[in-house]
Amino acid sequence: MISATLTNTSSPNTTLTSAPLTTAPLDQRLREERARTDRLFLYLLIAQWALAIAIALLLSPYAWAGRTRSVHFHLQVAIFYGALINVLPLALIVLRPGTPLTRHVVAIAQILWSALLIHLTGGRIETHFHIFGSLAFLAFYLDWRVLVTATLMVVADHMFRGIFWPESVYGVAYTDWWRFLEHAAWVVFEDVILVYACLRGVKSAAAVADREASLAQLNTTIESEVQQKTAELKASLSRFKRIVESTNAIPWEMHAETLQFAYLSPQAGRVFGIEGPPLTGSEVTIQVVHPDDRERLQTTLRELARAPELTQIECDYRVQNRNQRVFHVRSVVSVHRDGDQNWLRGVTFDITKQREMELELRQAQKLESVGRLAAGVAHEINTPIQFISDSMQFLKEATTAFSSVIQRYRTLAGAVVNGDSPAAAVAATNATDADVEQDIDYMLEHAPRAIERTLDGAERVSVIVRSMKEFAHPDHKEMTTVDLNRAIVTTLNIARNEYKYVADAETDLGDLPPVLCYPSDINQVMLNMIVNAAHAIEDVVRGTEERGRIFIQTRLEDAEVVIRISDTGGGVPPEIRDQIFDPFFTTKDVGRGTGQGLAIARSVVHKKHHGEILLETEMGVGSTFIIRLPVTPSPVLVGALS
Amino acid sequence: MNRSSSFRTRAWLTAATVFWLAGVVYGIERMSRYALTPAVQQPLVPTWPAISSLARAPGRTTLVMFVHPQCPCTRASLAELEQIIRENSGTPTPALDAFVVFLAPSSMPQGWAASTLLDRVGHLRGVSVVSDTNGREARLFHADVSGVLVLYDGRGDLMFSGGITGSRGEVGENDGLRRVRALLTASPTSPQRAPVFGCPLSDPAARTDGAL
Repeated sequence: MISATLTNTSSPNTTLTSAPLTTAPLDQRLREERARTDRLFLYLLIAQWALAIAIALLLSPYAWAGRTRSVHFHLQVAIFYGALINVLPLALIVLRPGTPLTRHVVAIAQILWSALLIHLTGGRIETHFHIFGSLAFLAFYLDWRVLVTATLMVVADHMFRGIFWPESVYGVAYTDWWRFLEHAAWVVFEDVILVYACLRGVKSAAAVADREASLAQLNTTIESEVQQKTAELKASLSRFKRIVESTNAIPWEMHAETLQFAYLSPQAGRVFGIEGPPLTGSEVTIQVVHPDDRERLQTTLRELARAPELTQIECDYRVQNRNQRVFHVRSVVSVHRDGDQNWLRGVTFDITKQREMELELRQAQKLESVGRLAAGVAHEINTPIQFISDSMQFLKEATTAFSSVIQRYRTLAGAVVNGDSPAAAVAATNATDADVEQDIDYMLEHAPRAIERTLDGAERVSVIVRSMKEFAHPDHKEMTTVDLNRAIVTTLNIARNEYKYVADAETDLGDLPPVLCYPSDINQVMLNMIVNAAHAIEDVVRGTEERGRIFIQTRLEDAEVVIRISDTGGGVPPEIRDQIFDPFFTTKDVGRGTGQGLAIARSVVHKKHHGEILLETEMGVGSTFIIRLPVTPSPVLVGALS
Repeated sequence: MNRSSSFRTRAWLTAATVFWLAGVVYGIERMSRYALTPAVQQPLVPTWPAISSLARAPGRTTLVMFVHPQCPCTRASLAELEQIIRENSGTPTPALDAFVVFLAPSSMPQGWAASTLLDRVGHLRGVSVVSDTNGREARLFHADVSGVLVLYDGRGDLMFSGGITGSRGEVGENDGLRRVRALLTASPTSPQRAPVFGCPLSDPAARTDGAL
């Protein structure tokens, strides 16, 4: 038998020290086995009592004296003497199960039951088999000493009854004195077998106990290791939790079907100042999501839940706390499957400041564009204003001349009406002189042209002002449908001063449906593209008489609008083609560009409209930027774009 | 558990065991006394009563056993009687007439006497079952106890009177049985007796005045 004691369970380096051979596990096992056997005898003793009463009731319920009957002595014996036999063993079984005294008393009681049953059945020799059955039952104790007690009890019983009452045990009134030894010999014969069985049982129990001890030792070792690993895991988990929960990123997990949070990192409350009941278990859109974004977010998440596993989206929306403070957040969400359960797992970031900075940056870029365009626009307006002014000056002078001459002719007309010939002659001379003097013919010839120029100039100013107004369209917070062809023409108008000295702009605008987009942002993209094209051409034609060409083409391809902006510039060198969309990357001179134009264009097209922007370029030939915009973004797209 | 508490527990257990053993020994003593105490027998009836309604055949040994139909103890007596009858019927010239007289008080309801004992005797060949109204025959033969067996020789002289069980309600070789067997094969010099174990055939109150 191998046994060991665990000397140090608290230390990670657990040591197992060999200990002297101990029988504690065997003793415990035997005690449990004997307690189980005690319980077995508890039922057996009660059953024997009931049997004895039943036998007495069946065979000898009454004693008779003539016509008078009374309860038979056997029935009284069965009830009261049976109770006496049982009282001590039953009490010990209940109060002290598994103890030696209990099983030895049980052994004595069991032999007493044999004697009583033999007596109640009228000394039938068949009832003696109860003794052998009892011994076999007592062997369940796996204690040969109990068999000795029982055997001694049998021998004593046979010996004394053989002397004083031989009929009750041998069925004859006279027998040899040593007859009890014959009976005892048969009992001993059975005892030999049962003692052997007991010893084998104990040996077997010892083997089992040994195995159990080994298993217990192994279990203790494993348990110790498990505790150690669990502690490490807990520490790791705690560390991980501290790390995760100390950031402003908010990890969460929700059931894909119900959209209820299974886990929501506690910093949600800290970051957003959201109070109230825990959000875990609540439906995602109920409490925190801005009412205007709830339906869209819900639709987006449900669409994602049906998407293939590991599909990932970015989803921007707004969160509102109880103080009505609104946060812009971005969630990176992916769908996972664990068995039959679908989960949405994601991380949410507060991008309110980023949003504000983006807005400021875009506004700054817009202001930069406006500032850059201001001179050109002023010039564009100044030219028609100039010739409007000249024409109006001419018309003013003409009006003065016409007034003077008309006054003379009116005088002439009065003299003619009055019949005053002399005065009429004088007036006619004056009028003719004035007509010549004022060069009325010239005036009459050029005044209509001056008016036309004025009107033309006013129209040109009107177009420029309208273009500016459309370009500087107030920011729409929501997407709206836009005529992209008109947006392109408008942008060309206000950017004319940027390219008119170096290039000619041409358009080939196809039939387009209204496109759902953010108009101000799309105008900004178009302006950036045109200004970039003009700058590229300028770099090529500078110092020459040559002019470049900006060509803008629009087409509807499937469900996308494709806008191609081509220039005849020098092209984009291969080594920087991957960088041109990076923020703050520019090849222009200081003051000519900030490196934000293409970056913002890409951001607007990719993130806000889920379109794409591509570059086709050939060195020495020119470049073409291709913008593809979906006519109607999908619900998921809308969610991702918001 | 401290030492004094352990001692008290041991003391209680020892006392309980001793009392228990004393109780069971006393019970054994009571049982054995009950089983081994024979009934008090009346004086012998040395010759066959002339006024007996039982038909004794002269020259033939006549055996009469008196039985209380409800007495559990008599089951053993009948078992021994069966053995005697069986042994005797095997002899070449059976010369034994046997009567089993069942007590039949007239005041008891009809069917009272119809017991398993009666059924048992009814199956014995060569045994006449006689109903003894109000115990008249029992009184003639001075049989007070169920299980009393009297044996008369061919001349009507008493050979044996007593029980054929060694104790109450228990079968097995015994003195009475052995004597009856012997008497059936050899003539006795004087009437012999043996203890008898069984239920009284008369009511307790009537036993002194001889009425049932």
